[in-house]
Amino acid sequence: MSRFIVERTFPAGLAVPVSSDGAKACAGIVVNNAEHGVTWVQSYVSADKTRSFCVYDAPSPEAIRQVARRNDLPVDRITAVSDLSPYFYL
Amino acid sequence: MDLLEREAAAQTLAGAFDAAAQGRGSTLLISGEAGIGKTALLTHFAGTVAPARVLWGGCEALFSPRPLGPLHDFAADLEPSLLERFGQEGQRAPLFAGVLAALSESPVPTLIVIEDLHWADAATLDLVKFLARRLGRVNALMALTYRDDEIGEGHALRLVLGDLQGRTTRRIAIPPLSEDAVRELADRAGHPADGIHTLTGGNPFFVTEVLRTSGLPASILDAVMARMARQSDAVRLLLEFVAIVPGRLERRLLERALEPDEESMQQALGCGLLLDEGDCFAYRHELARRAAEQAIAPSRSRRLHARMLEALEAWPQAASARRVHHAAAAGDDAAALRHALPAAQAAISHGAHREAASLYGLALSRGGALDPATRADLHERHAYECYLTSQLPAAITSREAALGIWRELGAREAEGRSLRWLSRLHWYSGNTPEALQYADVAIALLDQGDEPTREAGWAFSNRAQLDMLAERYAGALAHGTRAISIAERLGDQELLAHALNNVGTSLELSGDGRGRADIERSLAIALEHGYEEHVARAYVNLVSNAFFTLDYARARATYAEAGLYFAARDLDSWDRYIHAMMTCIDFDSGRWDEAGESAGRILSLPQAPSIVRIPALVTLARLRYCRGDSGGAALLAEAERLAMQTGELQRIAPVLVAVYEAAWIERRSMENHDALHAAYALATAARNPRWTDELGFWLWRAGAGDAVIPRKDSPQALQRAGYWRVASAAWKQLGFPLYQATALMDGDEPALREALAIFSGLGASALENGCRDQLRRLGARGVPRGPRAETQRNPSGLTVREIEVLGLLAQGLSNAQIAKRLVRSEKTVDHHVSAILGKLGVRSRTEAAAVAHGSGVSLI
Repeated sequence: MSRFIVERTFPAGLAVPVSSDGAKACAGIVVNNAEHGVTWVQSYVSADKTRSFCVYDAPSPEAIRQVARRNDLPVDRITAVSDLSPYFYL
Repeated sequence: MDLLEREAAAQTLAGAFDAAAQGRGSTLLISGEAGIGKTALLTHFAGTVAPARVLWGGCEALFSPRPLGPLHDFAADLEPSLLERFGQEGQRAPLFAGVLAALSESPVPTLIVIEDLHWADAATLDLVKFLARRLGRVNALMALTYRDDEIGEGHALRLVLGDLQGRTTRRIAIPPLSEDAVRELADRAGHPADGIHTLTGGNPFFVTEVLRTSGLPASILDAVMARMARQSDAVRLLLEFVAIVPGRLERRLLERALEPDEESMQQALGCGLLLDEGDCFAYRHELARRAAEQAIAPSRSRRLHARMLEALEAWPQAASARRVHHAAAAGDDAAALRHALPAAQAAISHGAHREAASLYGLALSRGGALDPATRADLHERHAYECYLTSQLPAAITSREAALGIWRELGAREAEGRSLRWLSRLHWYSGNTPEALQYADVAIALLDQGDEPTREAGWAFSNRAQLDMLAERYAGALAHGTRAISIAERLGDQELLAHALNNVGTSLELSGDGRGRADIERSLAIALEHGYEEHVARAYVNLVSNAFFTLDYARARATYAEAGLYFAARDLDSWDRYIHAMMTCIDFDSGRWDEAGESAGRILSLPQAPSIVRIPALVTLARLRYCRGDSGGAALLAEAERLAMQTGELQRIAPVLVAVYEAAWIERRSMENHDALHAAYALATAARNPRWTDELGFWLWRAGAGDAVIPRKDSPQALQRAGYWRVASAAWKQLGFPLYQATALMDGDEPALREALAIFSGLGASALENGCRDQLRRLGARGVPRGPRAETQRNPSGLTVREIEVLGLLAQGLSNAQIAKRLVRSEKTVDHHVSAILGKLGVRSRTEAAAVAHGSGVSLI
């Protein structure tokens, strides 16, 4: 399992309401991901809500693209990353 | 008896059997170390299923296992007529089909148990694979046990396990008992529990043995020895005799060999080591049998094996593999040799080639007294079986030995045959110069007189094949034509099929369209006579020629046909070879999701050969570079290493194309173009149309020299001449969207915008970004940020699922039918349909269908 940053663009802006609908949308994504061994760890969304940077654990970039299709989410680029903490050396 | 800590495994078993009883059969793989309780679990479960039929078979630790031993164990219970097909050449496919039919037709569900699969012969593994793939709609459950700690890398079972994936196969790993469970067992037995868990590692068999002994034995061997030491000499002899026989010992054999008195028999059975199965005896566990066997002194053991051999020789039904095992263990060379030959024959007739190879090897090691010709013949058989099972060094050694003998005897035909085989074997081992040398010596020896023989024909055809593989088409045609005329004069259909394939492929790849008819004729002959290898080779060459000439429609059509042929015969390695090539075709055609999925699946196979891995690595690497995803570099590095090892243009060229394409996408410049120059030289010498164009193109793009692109009308040549728009149109015509767009990147602003749209539709983010940068540099305004791929493909903004629903709706399906087809609820489909109507701005299904037909969505 490797860690990836997934960059996405939402031309019309990303809207996840803080409500049961929003919760349902997120839960649906998590369930679809699980079927392909993909885990959504966390996301960061730009202030204008047109871009997102998502941290994922997955077996391969192809697996992330596959679940993205099922979840109807756009993907621009997938970069394999490793964790680095500034406090590691303290 | 209840089993501790086996509830989860028992539940999985019961669930799978219930499903099987309803016609949804499957395969369970049950793994764990020796003594962990695999058999106990299954025995316990088999006692609870009713009404049902239980078929039980096992593999044994013989020198060379009985071919289809487990099937032999239960064939009489399944369908007695199956036994007639045993050991008959060419009856394997009908035999397997017969097993499947007997299972399908059963009114009650069947539980098939095959134990100790790590000892299985190759034919049994084939049967397992055959059934596992077909049980999905049969009311049978196949439970297979094996020791996962006894199958190393390269063990034949490991490959089969790799093949048994998917929804009809489940795995159960049986763990050791916990400390609590061991304590409970000790309590039940009234035995102190201290130290038992540590000593036994929670192995249930060992735990049971320890609990049956007073004190704490250091090992299973000690526990068994302690038990045997208490017996009289007569009883110990019986126990030892059962111990030297792997698996079960028939009562009649024991009685014939030892003529034991009734009292000793009763004592032997009563001492707690043996199981009495009526007409057979066996140790309670293989671990106990091995411990007992190890304790026997070597000289005594040889005498016991000799007695067993005598008993087996007097019993006609005994499998020859068993006689070989005991003859070898008794040190009786003459008997080992006598029995190894029929045993090898039996193995071959069941397709158990690995076993046949080791039996011939045994015969050779014991065959010091054979006359030279018989010995040479034996070497040839051994070499052939080794070749079939990819044991190339052993095959070469045996062929060389045969060659030496034939040469000494002055047997020219046989000598020539050995030379031709050495040529083939060296090619397989990747040693092309040696292969060519042997091929030419064979021809020089056999090409004498006016009427060349069959062997001479094969020598020519072999040389033609080598020429073809090395892309020396003129040589292939000259040698192949000689082979064809010999084959036609002698009426030798197999030689004809082989030679026509080499000639046809060489013709087609050197630009002569008539070649295809030759390959198709080769295919027809091979199909008619059932020459599987030649059928497969014809299909492979038809597909790869279509690949080299960019005729992808034909490649797909041929693969569709070939796939059916391979699937019906489980010819997996051939199927994979073409499947890997198809990933490149899918990639070129813009079917990136399919290409990525197939390539990923191929790369996850254990031990796929280089020629299968290379195209899959290339496809996945190109996909990742184009999309801007990580991980392309490592894939390309592996592909390059593997391709260079083969030295063949057809492996090296696609890797180099991918390497240069990746550098171009990332705007890196390559430092060293030696490899590209070398491959280009190979391609031009061979006049291979595809690779001269592609490699010449990259030499030009990389500014690496004055490569010529010989076919002036090829899209690459047009591109190089500055006609990028024509080149792009040519790629569009051929159905290569990626190349269609990259050609436009040499163009003006409108061309770049067109390219951008195509990249975006493909999901080629990296190229999309590059294209945008180029537009900005040209000063273009309002360069789009790039909406997501899905919406780009369909302007109305439908999602993938909505397009799918619209397609079905346009075919006239009702919501209920659509729901069934997509395995979704009708309510979900209702939602989709209203969303579609909204997005398309139409009021009715009919209007939506009309839009779909107009936009081509209905074809998706």
